[in-house]
Amino acid sequence: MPGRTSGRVPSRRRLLLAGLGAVLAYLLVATMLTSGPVRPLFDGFAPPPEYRWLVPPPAFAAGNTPPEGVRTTIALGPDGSAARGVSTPDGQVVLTFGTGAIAPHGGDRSVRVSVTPVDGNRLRALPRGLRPNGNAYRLALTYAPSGDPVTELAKPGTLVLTVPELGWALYRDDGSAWQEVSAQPVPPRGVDLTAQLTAPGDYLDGTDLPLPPGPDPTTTDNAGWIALGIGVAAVLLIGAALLVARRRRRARISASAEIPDPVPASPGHPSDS
Amino acid sequence: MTAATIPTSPRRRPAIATIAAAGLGCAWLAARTSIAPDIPFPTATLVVGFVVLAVAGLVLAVPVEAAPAHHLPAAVVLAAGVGAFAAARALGDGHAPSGLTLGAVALNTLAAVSEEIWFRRVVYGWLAPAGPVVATLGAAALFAAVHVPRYGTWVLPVDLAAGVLLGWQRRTTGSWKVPAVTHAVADLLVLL
Repeated sequence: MPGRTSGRVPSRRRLLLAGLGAVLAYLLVATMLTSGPVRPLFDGFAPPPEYRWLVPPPAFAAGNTPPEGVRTTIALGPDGSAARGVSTPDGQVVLTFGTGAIAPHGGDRSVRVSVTPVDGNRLRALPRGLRPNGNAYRLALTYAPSGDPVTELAKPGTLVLTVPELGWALYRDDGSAWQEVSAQPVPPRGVDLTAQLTAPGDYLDGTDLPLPPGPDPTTTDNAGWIALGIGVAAVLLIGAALLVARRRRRARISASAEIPDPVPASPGHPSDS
Repeated sequence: MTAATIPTSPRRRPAIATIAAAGLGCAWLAARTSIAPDIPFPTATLVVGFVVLAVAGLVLAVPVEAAPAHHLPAAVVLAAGVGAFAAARALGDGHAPSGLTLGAVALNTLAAVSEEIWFRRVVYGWLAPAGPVVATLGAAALFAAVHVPRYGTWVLPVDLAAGVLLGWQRRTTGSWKVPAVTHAVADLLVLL
């Protein structure tokens, strides 16, 4: 048919067999030829922000930026502490204290707030066999100038903790054991956990999921060149395909042009055959 | 002949601009993972980018492809693809770091549909004159390649095999829509 990219007409059986082959090949690759946890498809809208590890797993070591802590003070008056938000510069920990969250304490005029990232693998083991999901963070509250520690909040604040992947439970170490803290994931990604803040201590999220596959540092560093190369490859591939198709078309046209049209036999003139 | 198809006659020159656009689209898909952290409003920018990709993919002219005389029911083809991805999800134990949220589902679906319009309509369509095998493998190779900057080369086999499966769906149904639904379901499975 003129103007169409014609080819051999595949039978239904051939299409089915091709599909079976494609399915089997995909399952073989996805389940047997690749080590580690494998997603059905490595795709998606966009990569999440890179998590900042204090002690990164090997897959995330290259290109990792260490997390940051924060030290600040909250004013303390006769009615307690002033309302204040405290956040680490990298945003992986956000604390919110309401008015009076910290009770007044004698002649103290302020509360020192300290948030320090800690290697969760160096703390006591999490319950239920969970593994640390990202960094632990040590929250310390100290009255100034007395230096006495704040042991608990007079009014609950809020804690938002960023974790590298889905976690199942947030824990606080009260000095003797891990205590589970009720936490909810924050949309849209669900890797920010929000919880009620009632006391200082070590906070650590736990998960039983395997570590997600890390980015290949070589490819991420050269992403721009790779993108350019892929674009050029696409153009060349399509150009080559069209060239092949044009040659095939010309060959078919040439072949059909060489076949002479049969001369119809007219009445009264016997044919050669 | 529809408005978005062109006949491939010996006298018709290839649409250079369309081929160049195909290259640009593939390059953008590969580069988005590296530019996202550095641009303001990355989510909104990427949403706009995917919408532009989808619209461009629908209006760009592609060669008319002969429909197979024998084809399989779309439901069967769709079930085969979804079943394969579901089995891989169950067996591979892989998942995305983020959870199953409405936003994640919406954004991943947008990405899936846009990519299928691009790879299984535009790229496949322009490779189809060289035959269905070239079209399927070529589109699958480019599909896998654009994900390398984010995930690394080790995902090439999985994404290539997935691209071949989606290409088979494209060939068998003659449309990008069944692969688009399959791709969207696969991205959903990753969030579960």
